Amino acid sequence: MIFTGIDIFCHVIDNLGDAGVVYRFASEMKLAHPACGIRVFIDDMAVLTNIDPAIIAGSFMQEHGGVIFIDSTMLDAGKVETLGFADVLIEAFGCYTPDCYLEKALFACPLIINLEYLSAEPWVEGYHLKESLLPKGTAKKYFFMPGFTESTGGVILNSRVQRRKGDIVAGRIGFLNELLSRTGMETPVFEGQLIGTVFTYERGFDTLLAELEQLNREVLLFCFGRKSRGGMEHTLTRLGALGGREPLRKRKNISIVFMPFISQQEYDTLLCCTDFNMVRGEDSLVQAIGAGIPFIWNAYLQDEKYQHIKVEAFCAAFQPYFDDEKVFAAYRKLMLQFNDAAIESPGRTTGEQYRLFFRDLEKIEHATSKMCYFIRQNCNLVGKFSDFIREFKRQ
Amino acid sequence: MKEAQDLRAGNTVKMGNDLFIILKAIYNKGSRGASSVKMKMKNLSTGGVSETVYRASDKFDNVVLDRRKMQFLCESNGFYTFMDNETYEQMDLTREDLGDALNYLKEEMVIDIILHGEKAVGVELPVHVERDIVYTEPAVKGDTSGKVLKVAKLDTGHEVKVPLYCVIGDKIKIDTTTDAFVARAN
Repeated sequence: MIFTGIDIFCHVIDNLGDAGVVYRFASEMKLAHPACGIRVFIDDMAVLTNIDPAIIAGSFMQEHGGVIFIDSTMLDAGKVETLGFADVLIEAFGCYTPDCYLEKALFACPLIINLEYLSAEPWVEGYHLKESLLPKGTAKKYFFMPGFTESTGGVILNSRVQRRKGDIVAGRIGFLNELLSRTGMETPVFEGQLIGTVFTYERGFDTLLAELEQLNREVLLFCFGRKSRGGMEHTLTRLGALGGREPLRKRKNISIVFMPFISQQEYDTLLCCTDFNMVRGEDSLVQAIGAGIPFIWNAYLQDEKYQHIKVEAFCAAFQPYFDDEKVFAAYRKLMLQFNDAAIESPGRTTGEQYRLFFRDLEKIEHATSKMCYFIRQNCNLVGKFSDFIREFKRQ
Repeated sequence: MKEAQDLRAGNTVKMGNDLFIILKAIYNKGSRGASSVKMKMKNLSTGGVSETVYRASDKFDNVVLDRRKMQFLCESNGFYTFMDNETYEQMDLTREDLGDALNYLKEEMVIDIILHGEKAVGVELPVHVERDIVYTEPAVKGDTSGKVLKVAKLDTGHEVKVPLYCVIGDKIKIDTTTDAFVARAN
């Protein structure tokens, strides 16, 4: 065992991303180092209940899957004294650790790590594992930068899904039908149907549905989250949904199921069982690559459309995995357009790129599989993190 | 106290018992407002230089050291000679001492030399300087928004991003803290 304990602090800004990555990191670290005590201190436990329904909001401390979850809003000096300190403190995404913990941790924890957000931007490599000098205490602090290259901290793939991917794909129809049955739907999934997932930020889907109508194929979309549902319902109201009973909407050859939240494990499994995925944020992007299935990424919306920089950088990192330049060019154009429309309005002209996306699914799948293989081999964040701590301890 | 995002080359901060002069500071925007700043810092006690990263909102104890206005005379064998125009006293700084200031340094330029005791330890550039473009791709007609940028080489050899309408020979005003184009100055 290279360390006895890791304390992870997480401040939830909005949505599910911060909590989702921290939950995944904690779970994967526990799998890799079962004897290591891992505690997650989070200031919005309710968000975690969406990711793992076994977690209960309102409780100060609870254990799930070997990881201890603590409501950091209830933390005070007395509780910190009782809980003690881990030998590694992680401040997720530059969050500030509560003073009642940090003041003592600066002397009690040998190592503090700022685990940053994922980005494909080139500058990330130059920031990875750089020290952040502290004004007091005995601890050393470093920045750990996730990324898609060997010189970054890598990404966190769902290791259980990766190990079982062959079985998951073989049993996909059964899994999809089981998911549908939970919503009360009796219409089974069948071979030959085009299956997709939709989990995006606020936007419309007019041109997506218009394009899918042209495919001359039955289409089934699993739609997740309040924001995707809102956008999809607006679109269906504009276009006119022709049938279906809650939670199903039907328009011509397209069936849309509005799904309740499912666990992170099930969502990651689902991503492997489809023909394409529309994903949002950083963690879902990584799992979509891990699935090796074509995807469209909706980056977190930022001021001054800064998400375009992130999307451009990701496309540049993805480009080497494409064999066909024209396919990549069309894919890149679609990704940029997709992230330009906060709310897609009728008449927006993304139809051409969707057409090419669906035409080129096989080639995009090939590129995604190649990227998945590369990051599995070279960008395992848990492995890189463990190596860094091992090296730190050795020194 | 100053936040990391407000620190720039030439500033001095106190960490524990040590003073550090910032040689270089690069700001990068992350997701969800989690921006970070990469800084090259020199420990004024040990002379050791380290490359460090901070959250943009990390707070620093800013220390104001003595400074003198001096004129840059010339560079010779890696030493950059500056002169006080009143006393004619000269001081040499190294490339490392100058950090990113080298990007905009020209002979006869008068800048603040930062002193630690009697020793020159760094320089602080003015926030804005004017420099000539010596090379850039030809101007593109039609785009006057200034939002689309291209690379331009300055008379100091440094490259910055400028709007498409800029041409060779233009004098431009640049923010030395960010390398950002501010305006055409001619």
